[in-house]
Amino acid sequence: MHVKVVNMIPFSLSGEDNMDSEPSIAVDPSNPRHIAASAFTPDPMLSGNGPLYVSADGGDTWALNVVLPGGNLTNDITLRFASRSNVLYAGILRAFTLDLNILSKINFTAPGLMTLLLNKTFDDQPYIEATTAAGTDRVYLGDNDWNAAPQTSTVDVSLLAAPPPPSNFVAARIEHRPTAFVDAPSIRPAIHHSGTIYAAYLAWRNMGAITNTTDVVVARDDNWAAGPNRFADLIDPGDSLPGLRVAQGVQIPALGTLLGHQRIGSSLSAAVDPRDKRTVYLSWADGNSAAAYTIHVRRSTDSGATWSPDLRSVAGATNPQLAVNEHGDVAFLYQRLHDPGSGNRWQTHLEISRGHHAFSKFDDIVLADIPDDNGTGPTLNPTNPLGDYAGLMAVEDTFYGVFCGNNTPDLANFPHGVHYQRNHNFGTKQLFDVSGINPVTPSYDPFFFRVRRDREEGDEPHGLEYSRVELEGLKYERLEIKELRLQLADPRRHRA
Amino acid sequence: MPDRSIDELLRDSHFIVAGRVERLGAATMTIDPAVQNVGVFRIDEILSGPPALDAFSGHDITVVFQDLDHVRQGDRRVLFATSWLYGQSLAVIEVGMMDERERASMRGEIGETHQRLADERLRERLALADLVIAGRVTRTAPLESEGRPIFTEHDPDWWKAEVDVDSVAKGSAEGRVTVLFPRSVDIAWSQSPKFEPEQAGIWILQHDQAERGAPPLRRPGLTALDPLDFRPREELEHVRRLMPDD
Repeated sequence: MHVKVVNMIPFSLSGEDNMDSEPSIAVDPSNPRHIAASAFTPDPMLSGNGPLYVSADGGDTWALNVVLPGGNLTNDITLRFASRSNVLYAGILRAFTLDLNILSKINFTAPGLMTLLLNKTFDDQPYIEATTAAGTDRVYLGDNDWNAAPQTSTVDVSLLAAPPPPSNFVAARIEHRPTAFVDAPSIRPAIHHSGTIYAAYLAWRNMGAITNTTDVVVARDDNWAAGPNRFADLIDPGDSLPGLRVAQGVQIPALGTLLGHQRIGSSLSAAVDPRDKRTVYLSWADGNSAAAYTIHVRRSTDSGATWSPDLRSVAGATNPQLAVNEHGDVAFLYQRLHDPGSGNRWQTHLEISRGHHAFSKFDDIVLADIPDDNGTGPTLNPTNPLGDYAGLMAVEDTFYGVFCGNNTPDLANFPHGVHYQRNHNFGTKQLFDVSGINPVTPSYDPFFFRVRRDREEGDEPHGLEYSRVELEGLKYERLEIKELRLQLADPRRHRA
Repeated sequence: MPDRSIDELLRDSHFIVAGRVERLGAATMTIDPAVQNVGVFRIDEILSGPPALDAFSGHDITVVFQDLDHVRQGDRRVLFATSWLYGQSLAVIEVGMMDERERASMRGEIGETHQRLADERLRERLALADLVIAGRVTRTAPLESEGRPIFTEHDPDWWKAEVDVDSVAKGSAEGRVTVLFPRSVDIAWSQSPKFEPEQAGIWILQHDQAERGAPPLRRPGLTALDPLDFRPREELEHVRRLMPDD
């Protein structure tokens, strides 16, 4: 297993002590050395625009590029590159107004603000996915659109995501049942390159002071969400409505409930196997209290019609993220609170299972084990130090992710090692400003990771060999049939 | 002298440094090769900038100049810039430049102009206000619930502060005024002023504000949501002087 963990704060900002939480990540599928990421990090010069984290070397080093309009730091933000155009897309909530913007940028390391594709008001938690098909970029943004209350779960879809606004976006309403008032903030699209689009959401059926009674729902569209009845291809046999209820009536702690210092209440992730559009993974967290907050991972191999029991369940944890790589390996990222006797700590785990093992066997990589401590710096977001989500995606055989945590430079906190760009001393476990002289108080930083599993015999089905080749500048995937065994359905019919 | 006024330069720039153009066509960090007009600038003195960058005095940074016609290697300049990249080094975008001989006079002028621009921003807030009062908080309490559960992580968690008014600079009020404030420390509200009993100051208040937060998150009443909307009590005379005539 090849594991790399990098503290993303660049050297030039060694003196910063912000609460840089709630990260997201986007790796360019056509050039995985190009990676963008985000967190609640302000532009130190207070220019009125916000920064993205950018890396042009696969995540080994990072810089901040000030390209986000709408305030010195954005509120919620997620990122995604289209699969072949190199264009970066962002879904953000602007500071102050909380207007939702969908943005794009052709060259993500260049100066200049991102281009506005869509502005929406009365909206929450934009979660963006993008791909390229038939020569155009297609963007799917999950958002909790209060304009549609009480049925707020929405995917804003554009099959030609190009300015000017509204850039061909249409709002697909994916909630078809009554809700208590609105749905939960998390709406998660997942794209298969064949045109099958899944969208998961948490439907609040009854809202209380302690818990919200919730259905966990998956909707599906089999043709890019291009038709008039978008996300209506997966019907629940229980009520014949679009959107299959994977779990019904589960209790989820009300928003604002704290697990350690971290608020919880809307944790959700979905990922589809790039090799098989019928295989989709889903993860959510429920429980009737913070202590009981438990992440579940389930799988469907029939396009969402039926679901496995829990493949994994992890109690006292939040921020689940799922991704599936080109081999069908599944990665499950989460952050778990534990107390080894010295106070609460957050363990960030990445579990990787080969698809056919379906988590009956998996590797468990502890990327970080760090104090649940806000540090003594400014307490921006003291109840959201990790963020309401982390970030994970797969490109080719590699998993890329980002999580937030206390930035004390203590190698004991990072079992697989860590690289700091900002000034630090692992011996004294101290941070310093650019001068290397003045100590800096601990705070929260984003951490990038990159994990690739060594291929093993038996990774591919018997007789097949997978490889990637590049010819005349074009990349191809090659699946060679080394051995072919025919099993006849009824041998007696074929004796002759 | 530059083509643009010092006010214009300061309004658009966020990092003002004095130093020397070291090299043209070079950079101190990896940048997009398509970016034109780059050069290396050695900072002798930071005239204005965020404290987090103080240690860059004496260091080389990368500058994207407006064009290379007006700059030569070895030039000593006062550089007005805004942010681009923070990485192993720093890369900024030129807003304007002045001859280095202006440096001494610039030190004082920057301070004066920043104050003037700050006053301008405060004057804008005062113009938007329905009521400007000085007083002291006697009590804070949660705003009565509307019976609606929390439906977003950006819930403001509205509280009310009862303020005993001792002076009115704009509008009319007597005795006690109720000011609503978001107690939430969520990213959406963390910069809005929070109030505690016995806190004294000046409140620049809007009635039924429509500037911040989506409408479902707003509440009718008086609010002071911009960081500039709550001032130290000692600034009352200054605030009165800035008050628009109308």
